[in-house]
Amino acid sequence: MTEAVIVPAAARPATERRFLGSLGRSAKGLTGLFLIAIIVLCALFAKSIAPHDHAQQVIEWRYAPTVWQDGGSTTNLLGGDNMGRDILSRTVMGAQVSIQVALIVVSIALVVGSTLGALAGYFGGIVDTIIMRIVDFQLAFPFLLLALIFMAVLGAGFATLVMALAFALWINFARIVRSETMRIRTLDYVDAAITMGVSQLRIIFTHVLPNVLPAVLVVATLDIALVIISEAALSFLGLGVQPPTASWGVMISEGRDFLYEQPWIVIAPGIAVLISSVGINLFGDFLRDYFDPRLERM
Amino acid sequence: MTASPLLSVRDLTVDYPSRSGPVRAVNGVSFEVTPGSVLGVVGESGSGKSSIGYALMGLTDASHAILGGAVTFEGRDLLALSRRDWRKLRGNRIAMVFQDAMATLNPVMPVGDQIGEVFRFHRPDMSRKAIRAASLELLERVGIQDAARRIDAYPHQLSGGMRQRVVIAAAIALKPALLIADEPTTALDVTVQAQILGLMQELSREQGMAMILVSHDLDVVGDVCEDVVVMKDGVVVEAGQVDDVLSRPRHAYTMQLLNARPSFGAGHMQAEAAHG
Amino acid sequence: MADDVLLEVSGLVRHFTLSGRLFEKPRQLTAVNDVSFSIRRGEAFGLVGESGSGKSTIGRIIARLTEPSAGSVSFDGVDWLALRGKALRDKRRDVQMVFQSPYASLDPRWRVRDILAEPLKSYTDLKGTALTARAAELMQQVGLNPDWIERFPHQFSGGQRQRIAIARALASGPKLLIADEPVSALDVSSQAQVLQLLRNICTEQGLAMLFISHDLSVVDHLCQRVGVLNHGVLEEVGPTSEIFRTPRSDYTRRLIDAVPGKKRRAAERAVHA
Repeated sequence: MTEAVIVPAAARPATERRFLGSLGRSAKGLTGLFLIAIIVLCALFAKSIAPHDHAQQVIEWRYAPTVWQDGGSTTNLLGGDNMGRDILSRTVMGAQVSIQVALIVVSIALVVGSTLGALAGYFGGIVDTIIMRIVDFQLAFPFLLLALIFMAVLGAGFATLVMALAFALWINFARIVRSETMRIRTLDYVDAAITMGVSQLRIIFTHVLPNVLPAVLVVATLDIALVIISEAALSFLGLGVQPPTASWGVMISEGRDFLYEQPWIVIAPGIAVLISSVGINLFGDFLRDYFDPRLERM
Repeated sequence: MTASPLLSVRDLTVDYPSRSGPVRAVNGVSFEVTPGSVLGVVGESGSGKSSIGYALMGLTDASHAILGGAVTFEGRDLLALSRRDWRKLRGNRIAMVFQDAMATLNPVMPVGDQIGEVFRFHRPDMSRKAIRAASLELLERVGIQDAARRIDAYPHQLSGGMRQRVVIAAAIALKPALLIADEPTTALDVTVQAQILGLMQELSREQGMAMILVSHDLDVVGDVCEDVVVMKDGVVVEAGQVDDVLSRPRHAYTMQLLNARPSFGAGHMQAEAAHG
Repeated sequence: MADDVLLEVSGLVRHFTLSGRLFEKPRQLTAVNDVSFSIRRGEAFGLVGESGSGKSTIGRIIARLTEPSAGSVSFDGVDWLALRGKALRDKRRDVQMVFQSPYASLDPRWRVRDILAEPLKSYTDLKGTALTARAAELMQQVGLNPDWIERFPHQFSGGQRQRIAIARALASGPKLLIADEPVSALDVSSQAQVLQLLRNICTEQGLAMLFISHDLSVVDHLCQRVGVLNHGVLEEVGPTSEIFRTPRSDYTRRLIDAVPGKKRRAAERAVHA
């Protein structure tokens, strides 16, 4: 188990230099990273960046225009919503919720999906059949229906949201890890390890999973974007984060009735979702470009 | 010496662009090929032997290689040819056979049609029927048994040796004056290798076709070729008649290459010496 | 004489089922068909054949990477195919393998030290600096600079990588080395060096070797006895010089005729004469 951790870490200096070098040359990667940085900074320093408390209600701020509209003021740069809350502050706070949900969901899906995928790909046979049938079954199920079932059984809320999303996403990891594992399983260094008396489980952890990692990282980044959008969608439908917590989905959901009075209640979180998903997708694309040729070269 | 050369290569250089400036793969190589003769180009990986083949076929565009020196083929300067002229020449007067027949052939096209393509491109006046008849004849010529049936087979339905025969059939379709073969038998079994090499020699003799055999294997080159050029790091270290080079290698590298491969039968000699 | 035998293979059979196309009955392919031979202690035994002859499958069966359909293997007095689980993992130290491609047989993410430590951790109690010292010793044994132990496989040439693979195979102190086309992925000049190394190590350590190859010249040079395989059938077995000088089987004769280098051999004979 220890090698799996030590070896990539020791490999870092050379790899890191190459990685930064190719990131510096990639417009896609840099743009993606820049957009992600905006969202992450907003999430980390939400309290300091937000000009007001996101839950603070001020009567005078109701439907306050944005700063560039007639009668706008610097107090509410993006105006105020139907309940007199500052839209900018709520959008910034929303980043926190989105990133939190995304990281938790993707971590769970990654660990569960990769482990099951590795077992299926390595051992094949009955283990593979059982795990892949579950995957097939889930692929046939519409995601929203699945989420609805979770809500119905567990009740709407943060924990349910996380579980529903993780349950939907683990198959992405299971499938990629399974196919990569099946490829690596046939490589001579795995056979060599078998002849050297290394146990199967140890081979999975020391040879297979570290070599699957690049592919998993690409899926993980792209899934983060997916989670952010899905969180917004579910919260919009009232199935996810519950008001008054300022999630982007909640904001869009609440604001759609007041589009005429103040469209920025919806536009601001909409732009935030767009920035984060475009940023993460660009960065994910860069990662894929970076890892693919390297895998071939090896 | 008396025959005027079919191909003359003078001070050929091939440079590949790289991030840290151009890399010289071939550095001032010169040789001549007379009509109907067989030249071997021997070297290890990185010796530049394959780059010469690509340069002689005008296949260096994709790698953005920069060529220098002079290459004259049938009185024409090959390095000055336009892409259009190259397309007319390639497959027609000069043809090439590569190591990996599977990569050369189109996997979704029957092999007969792939040979027919050569005619369609270079002999647009030929009828479909005539093309098919000519393709069939070629398949028979290269020793594919049951050619009438195999003409409609797809590459994956044929063995490696048969695939390489198909590639050779397409290469000799228009009776080229020069055939360049880059490791044509490296991926094949020994018995199949012997058959393919025999076929190539036979075709060369019959059609008066000159050949350049690019190979890492001095034994193969020794059996097939009349002259040999030994390359190392982009430079010709030794050139001459095969018999001379094999029996009296002058350059240390040639000796090293010869010593690197145990000679078949030498083991018996040792055994005899030990027992005797 | 009987004590002399290290490995005894008898009646080995291996079928593969080819899953046919839709609605077609799956076909059975016999990759190894009733193969028997034995290897003596310290002997280099060559298994020659062309692709599809089943020579690699036999190597993999003896290395216990593939199970045979029938037959028995006795190794060092042990019913080799009956070993299971922990007992098998322990006994694997006696039979080690060198694979064809040193590009595929070394994990690209591992340092040489960790690659060599893998068998040492399985079969010795060495730890920390003692482990590293033993790994460095192995490097030296195969003619590599022990200071390179911190490097990754891609920092070595093909021939050097194969040396690392050989060092790894030696780490557990095996009695039999299975070398499956160990030089066919290498450049000509490194081929000779790697073969020389294998030969020296086997002689010095009294190690037996099953040398699997398509290359008759190399087998002729390296092995005392040889078996010729043709489509899963062992055509003949015997001392290399005998088999290659006076072959009894037509197939062996055809193989010998196909060996390139006739002109060179003639030239050499002329020089020696």
